[in-house]
Amino acid sequence: MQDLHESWIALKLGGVMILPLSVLAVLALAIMLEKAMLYWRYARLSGELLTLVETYGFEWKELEHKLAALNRYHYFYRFFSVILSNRERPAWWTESRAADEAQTIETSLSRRLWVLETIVTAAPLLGLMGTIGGMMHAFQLIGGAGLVNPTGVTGGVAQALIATAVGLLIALISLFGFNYFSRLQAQTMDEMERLGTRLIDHIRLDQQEQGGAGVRP
Amino acid sequence: MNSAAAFDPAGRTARPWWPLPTALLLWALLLWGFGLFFAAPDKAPAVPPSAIDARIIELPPPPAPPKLQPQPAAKAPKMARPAPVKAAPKPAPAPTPPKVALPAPPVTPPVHADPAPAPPPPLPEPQPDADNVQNGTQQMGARALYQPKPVIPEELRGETIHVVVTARLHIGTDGNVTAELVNPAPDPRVNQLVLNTLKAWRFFPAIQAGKPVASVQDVKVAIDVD
Repeated sequence: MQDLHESWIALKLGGVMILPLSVLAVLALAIMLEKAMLYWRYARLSGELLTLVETYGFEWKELEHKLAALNRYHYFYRFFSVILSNRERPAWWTESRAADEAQTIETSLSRRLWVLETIVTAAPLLGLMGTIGGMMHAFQLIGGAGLVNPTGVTGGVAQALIATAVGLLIALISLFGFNYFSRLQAQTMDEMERLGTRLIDHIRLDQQEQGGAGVRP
Repeated sequence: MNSAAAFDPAGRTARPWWPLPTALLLWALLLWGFGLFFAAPDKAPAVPPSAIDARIIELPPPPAPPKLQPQPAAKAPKMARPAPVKAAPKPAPAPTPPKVALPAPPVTPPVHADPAPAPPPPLPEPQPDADNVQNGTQQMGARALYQPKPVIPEELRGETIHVVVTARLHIGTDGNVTAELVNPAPDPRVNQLVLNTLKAWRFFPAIQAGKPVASVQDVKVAIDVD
């Protein structure tokens, strides 16, 4: 309890800028937690499924069987389902639908990343605002009636430093999160494009083996 | 068709509810740790209290003394005797009040605060001027008899204070003092300290026409805590 009280006293020195900084921090953490959960649960591809699509001996039945075990919100489930449900149609048609679905998935993956990117820039600026406010307060104390309240002056300087430190901390965390999830998004989309190309190739191969009955790849 | 049609291509992204509450909790924990980090220097061992200097400086009385009978011209040179204003950096033994000279403006010798309570200075006997006693018509300003110094309490010794408080003393006919602050300090604890100290002061009342009368004096109290 004593620790909590001391923390509260120290943070009160940070001034009003701690409040908007806290809002930004909660937003950034919530976005990063949501992204981490989405990638962990809905964007990881099992080694078996990867091996099945990328190696010889591919069977559509086996792909359907493995996809059925995936969550319906899984990004690769959504992507492969579009290809599976259109694989009897011309390859250009299936390819176009798969590209559309990949575009939707990319939009979903990059959702709210712009907020994270904005926080990276805005948090230090808000901290600087706190710096300016604290310094102005300190100098007003000196300029108003001479150095009659040294505690107030040092309090103003502490306010400035705490606001800046909190702003930089939030910006650093958000920067790491933004770069990490941007990288994950790029990797996921690359993998999706590669596996989609393989499946379209399988469709073309199947249609050729069936004699190309009026279907031009 | 085949079994591929059984797949639901319209599956949408999951929207979990827990990231926001978890983020709030995480941020609260981070703030806690951050606050502890900043509060830690306050736990450093306290240095022993160093120089504490509190001074009381006399001001000339603001209100002009009430008009009396015209004074003899021979006594005029004695009127102009301003009280010296001194400032000593170190606590010193309580000064002995100066000799009474009549008629003279009220004299308040400088007083310095001690870190520890000091025994009150001996009360000097009032020494009215023989001439005044004889004719009983002269005027005399109030003179301090007992001026305890401000004793800086423990709670203020850890801070750095450089402040000058101006107080107005209403000296009654019995020598008791009522104090009010004309120019108070920003810190109410300092104001309370000054008021409590000044209330304990005792004066030899001002004399007019041989009778004690109420008077007013302004006093500057300088509190210096390093």
